[in-house]
Amino acid sequence: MTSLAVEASGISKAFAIPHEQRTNFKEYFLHPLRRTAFERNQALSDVSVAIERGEFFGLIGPNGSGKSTLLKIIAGIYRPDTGVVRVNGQLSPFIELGVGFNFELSARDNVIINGTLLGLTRRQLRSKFDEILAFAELERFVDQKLKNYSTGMLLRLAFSVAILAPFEILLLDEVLAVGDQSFQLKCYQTFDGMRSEGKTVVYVSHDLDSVRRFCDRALLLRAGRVEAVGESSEVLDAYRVPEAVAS
Amino acid sequence: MATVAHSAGAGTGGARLAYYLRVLRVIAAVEFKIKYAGSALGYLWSLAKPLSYFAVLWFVFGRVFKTGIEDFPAYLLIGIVIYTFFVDAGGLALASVVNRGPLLRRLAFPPIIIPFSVVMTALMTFCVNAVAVAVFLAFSSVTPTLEWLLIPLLIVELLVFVLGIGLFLAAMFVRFKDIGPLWELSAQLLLFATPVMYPMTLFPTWAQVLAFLNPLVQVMQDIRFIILGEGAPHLIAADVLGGPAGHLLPIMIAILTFVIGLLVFRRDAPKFAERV
Repeated sequence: MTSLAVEASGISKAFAIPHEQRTNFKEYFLHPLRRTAFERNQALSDVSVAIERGEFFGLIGPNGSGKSTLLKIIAGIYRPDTGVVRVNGQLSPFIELGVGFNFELSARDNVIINGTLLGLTRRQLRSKFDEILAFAELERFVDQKLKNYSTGMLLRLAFSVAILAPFEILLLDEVLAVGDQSFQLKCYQTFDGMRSEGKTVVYVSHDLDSVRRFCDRALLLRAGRVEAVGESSEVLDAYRVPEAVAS
Repeated sequence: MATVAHSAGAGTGGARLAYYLRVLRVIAAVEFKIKYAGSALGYLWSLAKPLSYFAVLWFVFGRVFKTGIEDFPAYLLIGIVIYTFFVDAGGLALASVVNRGPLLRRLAFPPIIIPFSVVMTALMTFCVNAVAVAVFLAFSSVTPTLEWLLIPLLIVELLVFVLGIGLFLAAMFVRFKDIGPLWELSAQLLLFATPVMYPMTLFPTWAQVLAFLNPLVQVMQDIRFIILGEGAPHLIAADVLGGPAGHLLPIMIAILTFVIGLLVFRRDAPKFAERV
């Protein structure tokens, strides 16, 4: 039995971006012989990472460096072009909060939809329903449509469902950007709880302070390549240095 | 070489299947709910389409151009409800994967659940309509027989056929947006190319053979034959395609369509998340 929760080696992924979008038949009939020109965007090149069980692991890097692509490959949403991913343990199937939220339906319906997609059973949802609403502090708004919710309210609702989902390994893409002080504090307490339960969290964020506070180790991606990996404080320093030189 | 292995405790096969079924149900329910969310009449709208078709076609073909079919209202209503299910299911499946791009990019689950879900939504609407047909039949002179038990089997055959078409359309729509208008046109032509409002006997023999290769026509005629009996000019597939063995032909075509749809969908599915 390995102590690794996530083991990825030699991951490469390229996206083909057609220069002229050829999504209808006319294009094929008019220019049957012309090959569509593709630009290959190499999102990840030979990325390897090993994440220990019970570790809080941060993925950082500038926009477009491949953080989310790597997370999606670990989750099994994208297939890598090359490389091997091994996951040991129950992986959360979602990478963002509020998956499947429908803005025309009430919060009550959306808790059921979102909770089901996240892996909760109907019975679990029924018994935890009040708990979810209480944690989100949204009891008064339970029958309102989500389109009338503020961004902060949406986040609170989504987070409150997500933490009840069954998982040993949690993948999260940039989740705590909004939300007020008191709710962030709640989130931090939840993370501490997860840590003491020995859960593994892989966390993509631009909020470097939260990475410093929570992540044991981190990985810095730049242009699809691993630039640094190790203790999160060291990796964060590596991320900051080039900026300091530039300014 | 690319391998993705989600092992050890990622859920046993049974637990995972249960999860997929819950996802299927929730997507189907949302589709059903959202269609009429915020409308005053709600689910009654799902009756409005077949009933207004019925009113117009009954006036035109029952009163103006007489078709001479006994029980024409029942004949017509059964035809319309089956046709509406087929077109609804195909249309919903067509756009289903493209419409759920955000879900596909955020949640790891087999995309094949999506077209299955929305076809279930169409089936729910069909059941509402079937109740209306049953009420209608209760007021006419039709009496149920044991043969009616075959009707659910025929619906299953139609379901298999439309799932095959839906899987194919959903996968192709990700790549070619032309599939949308093409399907709309086909659906409209199908209203006239299937015996929804006229008897099959009006067709020349070659056209009858062609029409009965379509499982939709075979199912429609079989259900009419079972409910309305010999009275009306109810040709069934066996009459046209060469006996009971010939009757199997459209059933085979339904299964073949399903297999082709499944293969095409499964070939494209791994790339849906990045293409939609």
